[in-house]
Amino acid sequence: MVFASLFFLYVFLPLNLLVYFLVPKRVHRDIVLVLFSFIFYAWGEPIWLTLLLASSTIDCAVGRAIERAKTPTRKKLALTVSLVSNLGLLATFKYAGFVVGTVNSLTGLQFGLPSFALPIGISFYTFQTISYVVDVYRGQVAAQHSYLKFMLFVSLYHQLVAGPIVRYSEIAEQIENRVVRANRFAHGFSRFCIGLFKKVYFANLAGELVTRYMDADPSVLSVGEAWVGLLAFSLQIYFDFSGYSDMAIGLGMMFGFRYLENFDHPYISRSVSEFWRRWHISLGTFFKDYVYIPLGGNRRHVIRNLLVVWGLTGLWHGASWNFCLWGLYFGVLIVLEKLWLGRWLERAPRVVSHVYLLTAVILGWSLFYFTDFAELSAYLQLLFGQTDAGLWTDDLTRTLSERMFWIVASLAACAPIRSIFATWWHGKTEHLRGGTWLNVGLRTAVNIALLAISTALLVGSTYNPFLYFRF
Amino acid sequence: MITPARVEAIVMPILLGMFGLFLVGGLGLQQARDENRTLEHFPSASVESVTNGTFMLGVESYVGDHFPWRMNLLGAGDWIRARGGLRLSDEVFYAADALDGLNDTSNWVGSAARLDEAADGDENSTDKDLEEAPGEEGEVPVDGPQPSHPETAPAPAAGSEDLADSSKRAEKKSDKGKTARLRIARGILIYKDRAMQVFGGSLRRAKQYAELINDLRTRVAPEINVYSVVVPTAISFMLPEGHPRSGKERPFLDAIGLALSPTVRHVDAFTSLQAHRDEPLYFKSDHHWTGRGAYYTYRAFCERAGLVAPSLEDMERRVKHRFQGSMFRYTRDEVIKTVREDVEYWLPPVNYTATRRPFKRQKKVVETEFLQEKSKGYGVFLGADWPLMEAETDVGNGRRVLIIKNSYGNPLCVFLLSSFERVVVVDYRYYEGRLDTLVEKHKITDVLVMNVTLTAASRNHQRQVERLFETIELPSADSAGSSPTPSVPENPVQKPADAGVAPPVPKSDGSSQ
Repeated sequence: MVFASLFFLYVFLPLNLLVYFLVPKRVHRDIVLVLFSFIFYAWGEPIWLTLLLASSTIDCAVGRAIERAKTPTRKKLALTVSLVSNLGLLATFKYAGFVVGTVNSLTGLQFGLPSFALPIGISFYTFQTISYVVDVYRGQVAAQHSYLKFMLFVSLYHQLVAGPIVRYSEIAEQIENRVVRANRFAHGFSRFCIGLFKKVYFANLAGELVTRYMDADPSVLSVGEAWVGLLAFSLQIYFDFSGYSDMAIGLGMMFGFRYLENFDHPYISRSVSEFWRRWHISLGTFFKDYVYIPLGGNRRHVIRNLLVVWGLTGLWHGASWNFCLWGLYFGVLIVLEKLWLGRWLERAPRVVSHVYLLTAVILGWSLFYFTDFAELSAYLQLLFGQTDAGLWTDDLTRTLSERMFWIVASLAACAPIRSIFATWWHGKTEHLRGGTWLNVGLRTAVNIALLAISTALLVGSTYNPFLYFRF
Repeated sequence: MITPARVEAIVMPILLGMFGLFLVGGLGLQQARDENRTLEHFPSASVESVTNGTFMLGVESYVGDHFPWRMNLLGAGDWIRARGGLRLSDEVFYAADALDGLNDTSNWVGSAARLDEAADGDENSTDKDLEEAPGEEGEVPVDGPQPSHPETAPAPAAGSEDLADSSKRAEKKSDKGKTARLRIARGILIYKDRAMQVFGGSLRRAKQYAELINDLRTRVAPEINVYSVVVPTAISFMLPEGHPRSGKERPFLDAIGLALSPTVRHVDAFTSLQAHRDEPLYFKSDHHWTGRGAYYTYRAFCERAGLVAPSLEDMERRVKHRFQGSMFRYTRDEVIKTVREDVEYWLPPVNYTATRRPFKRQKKVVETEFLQEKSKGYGVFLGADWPLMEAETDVGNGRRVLIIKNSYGNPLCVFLLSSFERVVVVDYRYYEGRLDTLVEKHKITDVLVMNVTLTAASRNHQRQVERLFETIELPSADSAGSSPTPSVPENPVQKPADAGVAPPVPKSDGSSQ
């Protein structure tokens, strides 16, 4: 199931809220949430529920085994079991086809290609359970003894299929005793509406431009159209993914969970390192804590460590060489920034560093988009005028001008205007009499508007999966 | 205690829930009834439908279809999209044009496929297949929803109006804006009261398409004639003279003609259609051409094939009225909504018997007719895009044709009955069997590959055609060299041992499913 669907918005979510809040005891509420999460996950491809159950059962058992283990060897053994099962799942379902394909093309052999459909969200939940088991092993959190509560952590539908990657340590306390306050709930709902709007209005409309230009035969495109396509993809992927995270965080708040932020206006960054501290934060910190630092972090083999981490980050996004290249591309830029570029960028005028970052990231998206290197190179040649394509077309002028407001709005939405406005507004209305009621009224009106627009756009579109479901 | 926060927290979920209740309470049902639409049924839950996910898909379709105030919301969605920027000139572009689904001409109105598949005990289509872009790998809904059209033509409203009336009304409307109506809604260009798909194929695609046909040429015996017919769409003829969007198809078609091997007979449909551009060659409200358009192409084909086409006057003409095509669903345009058209068809002046294969069980043989007079609209031609149809006529001229087509070819197939003693029709999107066994079994003398520019330029369709052609083994070197005389009735091919049905060969990769 996806959040941006009429069924989720008007049937699943109200029903879930109703049942959840009608049930008084927390243990029953836990059961309600787990059951709804199972339905959510099984929606469409129920078969993968078995995989989720099997994998998390192992991890739950491993967590307890680590805690009970008397010797370090046994602890290690238990940890190994979990790592092997989790990474094995990923290897089988996500990377097997890729590895075999690569081996075949390198050696000319003809191994049969295993063709599994990618189980939804596997990249996210395996990482969550890995973080849990490793944290238990390191003694950073206590193991969860209740199977129900452990399942709640793994299967919670808010973040199960497309992140953020929530660590057990972040919500352990909330699993045990969480309270839903009206204030938090209302904020969660607003957050959800904002995320929905980002997805349906900004991301989906950007997606139309992406399909039109990036999926087209490059020989019929002009240079301008190629750039517009790539820019549109940069907007699409940001609004799509950050919108999803907003919705997840908002849903969490409605049920009494606090998930950490996953995006912090990445496009305002001034270096690639900063960009990655603002983009998909939960993935970055995962790799930092579980790969980069164990490898030696900043202390030894920094460059090797960075490249390993970024190669893996790339591969996490997809089992294909272009993703690996995309990751390494950022790895190399970050290494350069660590060596000298970073210091230079700090001294440079803001415009320069900002243009550098945007160029680097936007060009990076072309690596991300094209899984086929021939297509990629054709598109890059077009971008840089290495073909005989024209610079601009009238059609493009028209296309852009009839989206002008949308373009301005979506660019503005990449900057933290909302928090700036909220702070300003809060300062203005704080001391007003009835200011709270005024704000409640305004927020509700905005929510209704966002929801209404999203609904109207959703009724007309039938197919809008989230990009990050693929990973 | 009532606090602002509590009020805020309670208002929105209640709002969501209310819509949910409306949905359950059948308000949406009432709305949809007012729109004269066929509604998505609530899916039946079974172990199978739940495990393979079709139940859940069905539930989502049901919700989308029964959503309260669905039509108003659709309109609101269009309104929002249209206000994303400034309008230039009188050409209004709406945002959405990613409907590659349009290239899939399988979706058409009033098809008999629905009835047939229902009789076969299959669950029927959703109205999603219209809008869902076909996947890169050429998804053909063989196992899933059949290509029957969701929108059965609307039931006649009280007070009939004929085509003339509606076009008059359309013109009146356009007069208000002074300039002629010319705008683009959802990738479809609307000029006056006609909706047309916008063609944007490249010359590279033209070459790729021609190479496909050239490849077919090398695969079949040299004494078999191979023809290529690619027809233009309405946009080439129905726009004002010299409009920039009208000139894209001719170069595309010329490029195909130039790239075809000289041993392939290229039928110039463009010129023959152009000569009759004042006649109704294309529907105004549907993405197909008319029987008349098909007839002029058929005549051009006959010239290339050394056959004589009966004149239109020599055949009995019949007409179905009040046809509304697929374009309203795509554009939701107010003027297109009012268009009702005539569907002309002609009875072939020959006697024939025909069979077809159902979509799912292609070994099964079902008696059929090429004209399905009970079907609505364009469905009168063949009834649906059957994977395989085989007809035997009393023409007795020794000529036996295999036509490979998509839904654009349907009316053409009906005319072919008049000129061949055997007509074998393969829809390249659905047929799962081999071509070589068909060629052998029917001692085919002429192979006609028929397409429309939009689909000929689609990589997706090209791949499907390619996959079908690859079911003919390339001839070994020693079998080459037989006489290149065209149309030898006594074909030296072996009679197939299995005189039954061409065995459907499961495709090696599941992607075409």
